Amino acid sequence: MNPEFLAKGGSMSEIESLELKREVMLRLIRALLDGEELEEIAKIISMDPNLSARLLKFINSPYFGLRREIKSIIQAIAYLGYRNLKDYVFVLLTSSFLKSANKEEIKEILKFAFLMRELAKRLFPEHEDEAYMVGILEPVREKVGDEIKELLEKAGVSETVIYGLLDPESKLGRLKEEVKQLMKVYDKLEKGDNVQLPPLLSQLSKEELIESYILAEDNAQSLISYL
Amino acid sequence: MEEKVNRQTILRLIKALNDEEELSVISKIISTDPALTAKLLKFVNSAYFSLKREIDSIEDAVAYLGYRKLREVAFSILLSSILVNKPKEEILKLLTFAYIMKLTAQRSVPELTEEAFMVGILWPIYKENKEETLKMLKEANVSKVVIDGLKDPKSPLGVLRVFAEKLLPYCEKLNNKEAVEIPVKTEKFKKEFLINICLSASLEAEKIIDLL
Repeated sequence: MNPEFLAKGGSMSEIESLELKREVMLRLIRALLDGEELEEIAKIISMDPNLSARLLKFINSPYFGLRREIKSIIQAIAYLGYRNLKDYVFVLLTSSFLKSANKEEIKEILKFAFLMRELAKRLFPEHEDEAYMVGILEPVREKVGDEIKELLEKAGVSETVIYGLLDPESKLGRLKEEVKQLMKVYDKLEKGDNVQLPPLLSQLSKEELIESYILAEDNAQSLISYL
Repeated sequence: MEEKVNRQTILRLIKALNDEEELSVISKIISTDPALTAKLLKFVNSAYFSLKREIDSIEDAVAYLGYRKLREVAFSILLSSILVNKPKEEILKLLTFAYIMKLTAQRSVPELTEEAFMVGILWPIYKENKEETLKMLKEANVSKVVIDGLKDPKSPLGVLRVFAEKLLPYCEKLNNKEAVEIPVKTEKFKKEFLINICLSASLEAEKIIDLL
């Protein structure tokens, strides 16, 4: 926990409502994607005391069930690993664009992103992580439109992700559109009704689709309480 | 010929990760063993992660992986160092078993996911030499729930282990594209979940086997 913040009387709920610096999050994402040195990653996080506080709160939450409290940013990064940290920062970035969204809405976004990852794992395993990014960033694209391109270029996000967001004909763009359709017809699919699946998803069995959906829902549910 | 990783170092590393020691402590332990250092650097710089720049320090490699992934890797190295004479296919099968444990636990006992993987990895070692394995695990400060998972088939992870043992042969057939009907019937898991577990466990095992 940020000792200075707490010394000033800050509480946990105040930490949650603190404004995060978007520029810092974008720099952080770039550094994580580039595999920058640990010290550099820690330096970037420390540029935003609110981000540091949020990260320490997250790592010390029951979600990780640590035996002892982690107090340093370096230690928090090392415990999480770059991939998990990147996933977390993307959630924070998206939340920063959707300030009025409630927990249920954020959970739906997470579910969509996890479902993108699960299905990409089967269809395009080489783009598993990028599919998650497309999923988590799609609500931001819906809000800011093509401006997202500039934002993501600044963050060093790959062209596969940018095209996945902006071009419905790209590999991840097609997956994104089909996953949206799947979310609409999922209840019928689960009930065993005859559902016409789009081309990419029809390569998978009904069982795989149901299982992926359940996994995505579970992951979103377990994460949302601790964000 | 590739240098062997010192088993004591791996055990010390696992203990330090279990104790959530500081990054400097973890890195220092790894650095005492050149073979382990080389393996880890090779792993993080492999095509599996396709990093834009090369990671050349142990601290960065640990931070890149994170403690949980590193522990999984450390246990896998421990397994291969003990079963050194087994063929690669056999090690792959054992790793698949450990991932079946992990993925099944994720659904049934999510708070014990990592411990389930440990039971899966340790089970073949425990079967070969019970007393020595228990002594080794005590030294590595491995939790009681893991030890119970090995010793007691009625403990939470013991139940899962017995289940995973029944499932494994069917997963192998499934992964060999043989048409099989999964016969394991439980109230907890649906058939589609078990099929998914089989396929995912095999994929995870294949990702890590080249490191060993």
